[in-house]
Amino acid sequence: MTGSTARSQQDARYIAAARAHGAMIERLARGYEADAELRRDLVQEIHAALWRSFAIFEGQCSEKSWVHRIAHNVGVTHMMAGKRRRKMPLVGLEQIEELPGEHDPEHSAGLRSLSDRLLATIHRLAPADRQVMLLYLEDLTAAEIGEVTGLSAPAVAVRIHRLKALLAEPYRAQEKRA
Amino acid sequence: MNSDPVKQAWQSSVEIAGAPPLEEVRKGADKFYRYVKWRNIVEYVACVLVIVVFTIYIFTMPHVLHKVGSAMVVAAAIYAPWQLHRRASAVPPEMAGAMPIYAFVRGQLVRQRDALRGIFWWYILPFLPGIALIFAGNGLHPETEAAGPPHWVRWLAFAGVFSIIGFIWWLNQIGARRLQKRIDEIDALTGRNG
Repeated sequence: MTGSTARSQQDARYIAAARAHGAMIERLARGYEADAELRRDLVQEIHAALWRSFAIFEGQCSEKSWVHRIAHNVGVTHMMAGKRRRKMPLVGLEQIEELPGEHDPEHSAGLRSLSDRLLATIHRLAPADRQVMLLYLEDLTAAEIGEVTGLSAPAVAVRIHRLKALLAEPYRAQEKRA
Repeated sequence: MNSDPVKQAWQSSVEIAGAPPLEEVRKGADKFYRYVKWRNIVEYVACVLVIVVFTIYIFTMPHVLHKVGSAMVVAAAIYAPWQLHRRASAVPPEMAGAMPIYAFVRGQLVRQRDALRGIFWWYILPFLPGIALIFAGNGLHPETEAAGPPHWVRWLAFAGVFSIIGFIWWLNQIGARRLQKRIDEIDALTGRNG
């Protein structure tokens, strides 16, 4: 294959993947970066990494897993590089007992929507737990989450179990109120 | 759309997103190349300045050791950028041709890492004999000796120069470790061992 043919194939694969997974990349970037301007840079970085990666993608895993893996690698690297800016220490899933409330005093603007409350929780999480939560919310299976993160099946299972309990909590509270 | 209301809420928070233009994406992918290119340009310009200044010293400094030392610094300022070009020049991504871009990028990272790891031998060491001779010339030339600052200030300056050199070496080792991290990331991604 000539260089230019390889390059145009790479372009075509990237464009198709960017179309299919663009919204997921935006959501993922929201999970890794709260600042809007830095988030724009992160999205650009993810797209650049994705484009580069399609030169070596030969069906090592599903395209969906591949895109998630690339995007999360960039996201985690970005997150680690920004650790000096962080005011609050990051915690594991086991340390979070519930999602922040709709009128959490820590958040002046208020966290009206469920997605805002999820995001506030995601921003508190350490890298591995954050990855698992984002992937779980994107509806990846446990096997796919393991494939993307490199975590062992038991490690993924424990985290998903904790996540399910955490995410069921608002509905339990609603039922109690009713 | 998913039936789980939590996943549904998350996924509907951003449902449509455009991709940046392809040209912009490619430009972002070339960041490392552009960084290396600019770093090398700065190094080449710095070496040209050193050559100019120390060539003047060859003719204007009083003691023979000053002259020899300055000539050795000029020689080092020619040798070091040649080595920089040989070991760590910026290779544009187009050079990858049909080669998988990660294999190409990994190769470039390894090349830059090795250059930084061995920087003492090919960039720092060539300057040391010349600098040492210039300091020795200061001590052995009676007029410079008499007109110069007290000995302890000279020793301080000597220690200062070598501390700066040590600091430069240390910064480069940090740079090499950062590159190694990126190499490890690529290896993890491509399932390559070692």
